Amino acid sequence: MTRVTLDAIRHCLDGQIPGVIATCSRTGVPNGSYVSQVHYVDPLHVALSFQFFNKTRENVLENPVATIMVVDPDTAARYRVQAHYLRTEVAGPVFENMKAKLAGIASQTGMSGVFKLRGADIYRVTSVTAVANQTELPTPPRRSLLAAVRALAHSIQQSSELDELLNRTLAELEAQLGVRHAMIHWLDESGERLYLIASRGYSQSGVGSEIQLGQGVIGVAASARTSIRITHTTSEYTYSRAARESVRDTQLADRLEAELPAPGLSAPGSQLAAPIVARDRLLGVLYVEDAADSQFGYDEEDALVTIAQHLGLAAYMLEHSGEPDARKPHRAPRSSEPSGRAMAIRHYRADDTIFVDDAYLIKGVAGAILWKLLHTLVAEGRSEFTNRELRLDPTLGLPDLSSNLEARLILLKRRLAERCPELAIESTGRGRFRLRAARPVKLLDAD
Amino acid sequence: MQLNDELCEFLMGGVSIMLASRNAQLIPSIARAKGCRVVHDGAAKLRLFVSTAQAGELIDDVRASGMISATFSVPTTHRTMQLKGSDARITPLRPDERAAMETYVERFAAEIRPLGFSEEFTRAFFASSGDEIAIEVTPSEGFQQTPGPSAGARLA
Repeated sequence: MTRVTLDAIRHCLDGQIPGVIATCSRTGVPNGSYVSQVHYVDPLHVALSFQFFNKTRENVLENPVATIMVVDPDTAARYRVQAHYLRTEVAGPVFENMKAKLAGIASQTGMSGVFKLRGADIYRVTSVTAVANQTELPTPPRRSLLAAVRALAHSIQQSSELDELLNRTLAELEAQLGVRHAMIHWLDESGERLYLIASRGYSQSGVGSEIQLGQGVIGVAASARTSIRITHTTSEYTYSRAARESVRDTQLADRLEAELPAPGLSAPGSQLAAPIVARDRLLGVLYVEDAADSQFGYDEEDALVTIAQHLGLAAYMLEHSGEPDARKPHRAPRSSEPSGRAMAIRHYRADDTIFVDDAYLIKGVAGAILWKLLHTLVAEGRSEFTNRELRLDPTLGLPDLSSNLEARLILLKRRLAERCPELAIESTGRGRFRLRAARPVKLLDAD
Repeated sequence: MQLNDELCEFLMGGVSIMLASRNAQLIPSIARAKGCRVVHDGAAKLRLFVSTAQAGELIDDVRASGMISATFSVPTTHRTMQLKGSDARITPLRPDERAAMETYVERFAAEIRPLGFSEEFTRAFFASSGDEIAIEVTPSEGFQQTPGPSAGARLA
């Protein structure tokens, strides 16, 4: 009988092969059952999905000892996990994580509508042993995630601006971890929505696309402040669905925004989202996906959570390292004067929606910022700005956190590049930028 | 209880079989079976095959208590059924039962191949060193256990 630690076998707890559980009634009648999900909580605890009131549940409530058998999906090795039932959780990180994962398992096994998580049954693990005398297949070689995270962490902390930090993170995720589809959402000023601020690996960047907290993998990761990992395809948690459902019964501006092409794989097999948190403040969500099933295991989840935390701290440090820097702004390249037909730029005051020549451009805080910049450009002929003056501008009503403003500027800059290249925001140094207009502008304010 | 032909065929097909027993302190034990045969010595009996080393404490618990539960489940459809008995005993294999185990492993491999598991995987999963025995039991109760609203219903 070989004793092993729970964390050493947690890849057996990913649902590829269902676990089995033995329990016993107070009168001594044993019972066996298949378990959809044995979830790794920490080195001493597992959680079992509670979906139905059944004999297993009846037994552990009166005799809280269970013996679970799990199988390594690569080597075929079997392990016995002896555990003691403690309690049932019906909310919180473990519950949300299991709920999302179960939806994936249900959809993959044709059990959608049958499998629904009622609770997460938490067990304390008292022993883990390998089945004696068994035959094991060789373990497939795996890359070192720690080495990848180390290289990524080193690279991204060199960033001097939020925009650079976000782009580097996505580029390094691909270079070091082979992740080809990734997105970063930022929490908006209301704290109720997330907007896409950076993405990589999609035909449309989708920057500006919004998600309500609690919707889809990304929204749940934010609202529950926990990583969410799905190993099998499920429509319930796809990005497109979350983005669609986030705009039901909302304002016109939100619907206009939602009509822009959203990124995200149409049928991701594997999804993983980790909250970006700095000193207890939620900044956003880092999300990766893959078309194939079972691409992200517990180790990949730990890696992404670590990366998201590092990213959060790096963003926090940038925010608190003062602005702008003492360096002189980059010398303005010889820019051509605006020429050609004037662009008609219409601003709707109610929701700061901006249309350029009758085409929707942007809304909300980013719209208000652009309107302010254009006004200054037309009224004062000034095209150089500092982040600080915008942050302190009472008409914009920004919270006193520079990362919110920087994130909005990133969104504005990318949206202009994608949908209105005649207007551009160019960095001229840390905390400084220039608004460049290739054509004259005509500003029209509307209610 | 009665085991009709359709049920016997199910129990002896390419189904996943897990066994549970318990010791005097009511701590449950668990093992995977390497096939099942239904024999009729008067009443219908199950003969469940296990490797002695791999079954571990379950063998001791069956010897001491006679209690066993066997849960049969089809991986591709989740059709699941559990049979229980209290007169379980450890018996040596009968002459034709090694062949029955081999047939079982082949059937089970065919069943889980569409789920992405190779024959090599299934063979490793069931490999044992010739130390197999049969647990013989008269099932006295049976339960429907396919996930869904009728799970837990008693079989006639």
